[in-house]
Amino acid sequence: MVHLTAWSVVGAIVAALSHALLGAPWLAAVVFALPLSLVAAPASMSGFYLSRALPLTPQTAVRVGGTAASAALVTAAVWAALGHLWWLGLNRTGVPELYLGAEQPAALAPLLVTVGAMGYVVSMAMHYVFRAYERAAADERRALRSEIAAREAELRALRAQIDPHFLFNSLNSISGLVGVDPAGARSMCQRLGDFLRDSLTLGGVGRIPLSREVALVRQYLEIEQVRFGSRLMVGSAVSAAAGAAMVPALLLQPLVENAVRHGIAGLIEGGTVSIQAERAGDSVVIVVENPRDPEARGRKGTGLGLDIVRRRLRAAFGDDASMRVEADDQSYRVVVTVPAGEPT
Amino acid sequence: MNSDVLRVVIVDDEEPARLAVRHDLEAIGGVTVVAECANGFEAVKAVSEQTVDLLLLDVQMPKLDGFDVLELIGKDVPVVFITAYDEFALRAFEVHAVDYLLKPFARERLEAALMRARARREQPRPDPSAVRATARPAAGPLDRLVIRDGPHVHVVPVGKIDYIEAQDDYVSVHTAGKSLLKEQTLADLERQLDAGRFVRVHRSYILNIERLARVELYAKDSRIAILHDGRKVPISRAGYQRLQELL
Repeated sequence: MVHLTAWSVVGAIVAALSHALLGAPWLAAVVFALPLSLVAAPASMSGFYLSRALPLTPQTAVRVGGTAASAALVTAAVWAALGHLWWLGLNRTGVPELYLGAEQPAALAPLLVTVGAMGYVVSMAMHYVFRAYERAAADERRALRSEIAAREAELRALRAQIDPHFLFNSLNSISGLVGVDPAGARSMCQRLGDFLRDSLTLGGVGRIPLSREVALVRQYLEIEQVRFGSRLMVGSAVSAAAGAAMVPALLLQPLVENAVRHGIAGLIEGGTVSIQAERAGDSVVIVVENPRDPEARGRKGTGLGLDIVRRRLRAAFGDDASMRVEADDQSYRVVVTVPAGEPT
Repeated sequence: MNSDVLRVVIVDDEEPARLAVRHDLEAIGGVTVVAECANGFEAVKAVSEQTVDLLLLDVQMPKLDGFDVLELIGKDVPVVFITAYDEFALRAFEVHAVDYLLKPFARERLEAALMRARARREQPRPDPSAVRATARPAAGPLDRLVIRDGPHVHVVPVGKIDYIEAQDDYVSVHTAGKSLLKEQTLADLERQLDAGRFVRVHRSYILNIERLARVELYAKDSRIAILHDGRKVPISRAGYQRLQELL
């Protein structure tokens, strides 16, 4: 369709030129030029196939240019010959309005060849432009997919340490976003990669400042926020004194996972997961709290997460650390107490 | 196979998932998304308020899961489950779902599901009570009833049920001062409720034991149960035997 419109424009140009340069009357010029130009449209399709066969790169530029020029000239010459016959034909119809002028106007051939060749070359150029655009879009999609594949591979190695469902859900979300919001998908990919890389690195370190631990847990929650949208709100308040306490890395991870899975996920309107830490004498008190649905059914936790946290506390601090759960129908709080540690 | 435009409702609590499905549907064509719902309550409302040809339904959702939704509206609308977990496939089969798609799925898979949905429209519907009966969870007695009231859904924990009265194909669930009509048979409910807490005291009545204040002899061989709030429920002979076994 675009093609035909473009060539109709060329037709108008030929008509105008025929009138101006060759003295043909307007009506006759239009009757001459338009059908002739529409015939050129399929003829220039050869340019389309050429552009497919000859990719345009800096190296091939000269060759492509040469080929295009010769193809243009040849096609234009044939077209000019057709034009000549058509000119004669119109003259011979005997209808006065269609009489174009002299039998063999000298300027007709150059006119048609020039316009035809230019039209051909322009049409080829447009094909190249369209192809480049298509290729750029396809490249972007391909880059995104390979990024996802790379992350997937990285993640497979980490499976033992992080809840597999979290990975699975995150990948699903990314997969869902790829077609709809590629920028969002890429951003989520990066955040997921960062979180997993950080937890992998920090997991090997031993102990980290509580402030770093809370930052890590917030990274996790930010990723979950893509799935839950405004249903998952996050609040944290860690005092400077509390933030300096040294804790095992990923200590709070299971608590936060539970808060999302058993708390927020069961609420229609969602809610806020809050993490607070305050210094209290020689200890630091950490509270992870979330709302929950009083009538929540199914998928009750196994208590495994809490168990893991308890064991890690014991291994790291012996009797100097403790954990308790304060829960009612509407909310769930886990209170963890750890030693504040020596002043640095 | 017809080629009418399918009127589709997407139900999933996760927005990225809803967006992805909508995006795929737009690419496939031949469908109009008439509603996007983030939970089962919205889904019931949507189905009540307009003509819906197909439900694309997630399973894991807050408060009402996909099977609850199916129980409430499954006889009206064909359902395709869309979920990240494969463990529900067997149940989905039992409730005559049209299809079961595992997330993430390829567009072609969704397209195939849509074609199945179209083909299903040509066939007679499965018996509605069969659909509802098998939507029950396999494990354990019921802990709550979901009852549809036009566009609204009542979620009634079993502890709040006073008694249930049969009314032909329906039952009237008496709870917290009101009564709700549910399309189910008394026998069906009897099977699913905890027999230690709910007794079929009469051909037409199931009673929550906790509500029972005392039993009075009405006439020879005829007894009535007096509830704590003073209401009365008739007890048949067989019903009385069952009651005695329990108490």
